[in-house]
Amino acid sequence: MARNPIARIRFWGHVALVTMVSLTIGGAFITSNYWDAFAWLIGFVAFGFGALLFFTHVRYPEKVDAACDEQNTAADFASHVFGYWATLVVFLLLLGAVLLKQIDSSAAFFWLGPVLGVGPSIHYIASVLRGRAE
Amino acid sequence: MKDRLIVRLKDRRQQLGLTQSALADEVGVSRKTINTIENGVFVPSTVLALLLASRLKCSVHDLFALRED
Repeated sequence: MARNPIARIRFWGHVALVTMVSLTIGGAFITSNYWDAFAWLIGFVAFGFGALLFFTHVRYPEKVDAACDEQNTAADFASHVFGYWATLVVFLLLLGAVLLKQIDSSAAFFWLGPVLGVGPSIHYIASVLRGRAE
Repeated sequence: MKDRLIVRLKDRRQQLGLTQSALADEVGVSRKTINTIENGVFVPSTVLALLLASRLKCSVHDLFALRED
């Protein structure tokens, strides 16, 4: 586990986001009307993550350089590249499902949001667990 | 590219009795970055290579070299 508080908050924030989205997707398979509450919770977690990260940057300015060093920046960049491709692939899959009338177009658009939001987080967590970022 | 790189950072750091954390703090990166550079997983930028060489009182060529094939 990183000693750097900014890196620690960043990692657990990504974990919280992925967990919330996973719970939402899992729950949606079990019951309908599940999304409403979790949409707010995902937003709350994302906003809380951002606010906490901002606060940590202000509280520990001397730790920012190490937390955002070139390896972490490279991992962050790679996570956004992954997020782009993940979104594109899921978009094409959902487009196919819409054309085959397996899913409503508004629902497909709705599901693209979590993928867009959580793709980079999944990649960043993988980078940390593989020892390629902190 | 990284397969062609020989990294002698660990040897030089240990010669000076520095830990990875101490070196990381001095050049403003994380300990994990020093670790991955030493293991040849991450190739540092020119600026970071120069900073490391400066702190370890040697030239960049003493820390990094290209494998001759």
